[in-house]
Amino acid sequence: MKSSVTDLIDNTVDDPTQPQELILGGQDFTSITETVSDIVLERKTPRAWYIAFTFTAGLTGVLFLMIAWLFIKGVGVWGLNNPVGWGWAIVNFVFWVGIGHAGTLISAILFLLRQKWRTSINRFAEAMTIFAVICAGIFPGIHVGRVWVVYWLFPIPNYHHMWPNFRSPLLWDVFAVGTYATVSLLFWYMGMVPDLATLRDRAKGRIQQVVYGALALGWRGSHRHWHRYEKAYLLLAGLATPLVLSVHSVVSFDFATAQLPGWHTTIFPPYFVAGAVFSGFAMVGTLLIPARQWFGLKHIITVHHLENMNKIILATGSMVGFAYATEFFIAWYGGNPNESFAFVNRAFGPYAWAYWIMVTCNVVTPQLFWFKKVRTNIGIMWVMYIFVNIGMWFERFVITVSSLSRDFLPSSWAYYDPTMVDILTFLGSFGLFFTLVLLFIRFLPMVAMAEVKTVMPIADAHSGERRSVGDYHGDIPRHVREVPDGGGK
Amino acid sequence: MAHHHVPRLEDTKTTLDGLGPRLFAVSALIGVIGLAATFGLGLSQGDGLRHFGFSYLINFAFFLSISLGAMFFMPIMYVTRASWNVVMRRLAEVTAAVMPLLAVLAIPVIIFAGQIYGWADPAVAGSHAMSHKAAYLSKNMFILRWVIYFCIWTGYSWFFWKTSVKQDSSGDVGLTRRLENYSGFALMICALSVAAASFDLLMSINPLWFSTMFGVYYWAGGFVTFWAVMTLFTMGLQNTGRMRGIVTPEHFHDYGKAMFAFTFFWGYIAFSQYMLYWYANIPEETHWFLIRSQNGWGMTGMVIIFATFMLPFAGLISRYAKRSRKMLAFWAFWIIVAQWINLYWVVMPQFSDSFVFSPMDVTAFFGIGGLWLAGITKLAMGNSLVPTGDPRLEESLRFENA
Amino acid sequence: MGANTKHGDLYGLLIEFESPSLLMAAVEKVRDEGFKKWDVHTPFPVHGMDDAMGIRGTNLPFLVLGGGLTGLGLATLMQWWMNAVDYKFVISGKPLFGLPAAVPVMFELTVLFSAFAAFFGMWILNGLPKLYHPLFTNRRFRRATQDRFYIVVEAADPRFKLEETRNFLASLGGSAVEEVNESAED
Repeated sequence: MKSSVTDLIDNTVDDPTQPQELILGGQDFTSITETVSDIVLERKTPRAWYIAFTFTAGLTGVLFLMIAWLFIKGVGVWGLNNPVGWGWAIVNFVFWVGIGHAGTLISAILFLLRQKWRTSINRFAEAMTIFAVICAGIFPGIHVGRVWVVYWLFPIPNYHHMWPNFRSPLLWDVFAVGTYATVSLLFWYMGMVPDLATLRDRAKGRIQQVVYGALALGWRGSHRHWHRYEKAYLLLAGLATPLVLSVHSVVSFDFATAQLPGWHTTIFPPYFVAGAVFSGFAMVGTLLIPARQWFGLKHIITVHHLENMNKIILATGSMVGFAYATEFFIAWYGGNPNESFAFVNRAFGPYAWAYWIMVTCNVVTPQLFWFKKVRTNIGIMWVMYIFVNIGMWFERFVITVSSLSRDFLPSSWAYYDPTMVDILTFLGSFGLFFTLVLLFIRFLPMVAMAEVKTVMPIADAHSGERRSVGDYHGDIPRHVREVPDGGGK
Repeated sequence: MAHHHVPRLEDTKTTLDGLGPRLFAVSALIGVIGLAATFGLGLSQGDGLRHFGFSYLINFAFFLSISLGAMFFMPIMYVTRASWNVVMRRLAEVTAAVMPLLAVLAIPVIIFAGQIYGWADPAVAGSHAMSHKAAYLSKNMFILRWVIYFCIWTGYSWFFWKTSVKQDSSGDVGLTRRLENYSGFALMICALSVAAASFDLLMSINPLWFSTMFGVYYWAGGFVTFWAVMTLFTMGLQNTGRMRGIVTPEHFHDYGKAMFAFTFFWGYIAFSQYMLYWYANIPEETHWFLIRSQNGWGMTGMVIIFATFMLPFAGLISRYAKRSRKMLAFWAFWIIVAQWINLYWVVMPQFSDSFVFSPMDVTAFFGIGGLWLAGITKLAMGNSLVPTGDPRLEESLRFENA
Repeated sequence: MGANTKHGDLYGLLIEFESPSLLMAAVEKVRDEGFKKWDVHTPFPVHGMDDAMGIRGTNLPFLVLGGGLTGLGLATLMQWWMNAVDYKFVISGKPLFGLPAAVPVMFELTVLFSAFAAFFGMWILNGLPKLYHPLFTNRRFRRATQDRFYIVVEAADPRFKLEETRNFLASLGGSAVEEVNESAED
């Protein structure tokens, strides 16, 4: 019913004289509250949710089985060889950390840039960020070999009187990813508190009231609280912005500080960050399209929002292409035969298949987003998101494996093949990721209600009109209520 | 309440009128005298104008980077559909549109390429390390590339400027849409050409050194300087009674934010480039930093860490500093000087292993800067200083920082 | 609590509004009336409300600065002491304590501690968590987190006089002036 209203209005039309309609279908504060909180409180959990959850929980089980097997047998169960000591575990780590960049970009950077459209998707993207970082954190943890001494990564006093080596980029990673996970979690939770209070106040069941009530910390919408809350939000956004640059930069340092051809290049930090945002937006889109469809959120997460995301994908995808080009040029310009070999080897060596998958998915695919038809077609864009996800996984694979498998000493070159354990562990990590996403969708507010309300035209207290909007007990069907004016003016 | 009041263009002067010819004459005169003095001082060195070439290059690269920053600014604002900056966009348009003049000012760089660039030295060019790229780093190819760069930059900055000026009278919304449509593509072309140009202009002074980050490094420095220059241009015009009341502390606050953000970004890029070479410690890469870390250049480098990064970062972090006119002007001026010192540190150690500073460096600054400013003034003279026909102007005037 | 002896169990008076613009005009009047202990409750932060209520800035940025400096100092000291003093070992020819290699951790801990200061500082300054509040006893008030806007004047305010204040609030154009008690009885 709501979708019928939505379909009539095309908010992707670009008119510089008009502010864009962000929320469609004549919504008011009441209807936004109802739409979002009903998903959690009122609506019956769809059967598809149970089916999906069973499947992803099963996959998660596979992940833990594989990890258990690894602990019992050691890293020999993976396809690692000499010289390829970093295989899928590191590829998967970088892949998942990269995906975890979209949430903070949307919640922090787009906030500082006053991009109001972010409010419809930031909660979802932030949640996805945290789940992706959880998946990422598993891989270096299980890669250390002797997992029972994994606490050596942290500066904890121990009976050996040893301290970690702070000159190692791998240790920087511990701090960067740890900080990122913590700050993202704080940011996400803080943003959610007002919405949890909404759920508390609408909940009918005692358990829901108690749980949401405890999580809402007694939030009562006091403006004296909002005042400090907004300041804290701004400060956290200001902190998270350089943080998001730093995380994937530090991940890139893992590679770029080494002397290995194909790894050691100065553009790695910003190039990794651009790639991370690229892959993160693709993953947000992959999840958002079905979610908005199934949960009736098409009027809140509109085609305009998706189109903006596609533009960011195009921009960051082009930056990645720019970095590929620069790397190739300098590999030639620098005149180091090992370096130029590494790049020729990528494109034409034994991993050429992976390389061309990467180029096709990462450089060619996003260029289709130049066309508005493509940017606004739900089906096509979803397929393209999948391509980008694949491409970005292969990018990390190409960087990690192709450089290691053929380095300075031809006598020790070797081809790397993953084992079944590698493959199942990776698939299992998707199980964990989607399980967490499904739990989030079912139990927490998927859209930042309080923030969406701030960008609605009726939220402007200075519009000069004394409007009375919404009617909680109104008998007029929600979708035919008068569209509040002001959106067009 | 204060924020109900929307400033109106009619309340202030939005053309250069009487000021234009005077500013043009004075800055052109400074420019001509500056260049003549530089040339004279260069001749008196008796080194075949080698020192002159380097002094000239620093300042050419400096003012070019500001105009390139302006060139990036316009499409970025169009693709993001940003409105707050519209009121200052004309100033950026003319700062970018001065490109043909910069093309003329590039000629001495080409003429003195033999004195400046390592690859022009036959002994270096014939070496084994250079053999694969000798054709690329040859004078003819160098000239060809600069012709291409300036064709791209001129064409595109004039397209943006002219289209915007056309809109002043017509108010045609379609023109905005047209610029929006071309902006994405423009950014791509710019990114590629500016990166390639930075390799040619600065990195190839030492033809054996290379860094994939170098293009971003040059761009980031230019972009932060661009914001500082815009701040000072706007304040200067306001001091003469122009653009008063329409560019408010709200807009300056955002200029401050941009300076702060890109100061950080520049620091991030500079640190990453340095740290990665420091860490891997490969001789063919570290030699560039080695000569820049001793005999006085190391001290210059330390000054740069504080002057371009630490101090402006700390100075601009507070909301108060960004909203105080005096403090913002101070930091804008500071950033311009600091970024100039940074370029000095990038270029000059290739001239001399130990620290040098000559009056030529300053006269060349005024020489090129004077002509550059005269060019910008000339372009700004005929039209309004504000894009009066822009559909987002109203929104820009009403802009308020939340 | 305890300051409300004047009016027994009464916490304060509450008035409801339907939209931010209606609320805003009323808020300015309450401010100008000179009340001290009063508040506005809204489902989202209403732009311009700080001025309308006359709220001054917060000290939070200074807390965050303090947190950041603590993190920076701690990270520097920790890396230097652990690798260059307490447990010295040379690795890959790097100095025991070299600034370029120390910067990433210095940066991360600066951000981490700043973020802690922003997050926890905000809750502490706001006096949260506080799971019970008299306002929660009012059924109507549940919409403060959804779609309605409220002004609450506390009985503890020195200018509060039950009848006068009630009449004043009723004149503000909202709907439903209600009394809120300290504890839920009904």
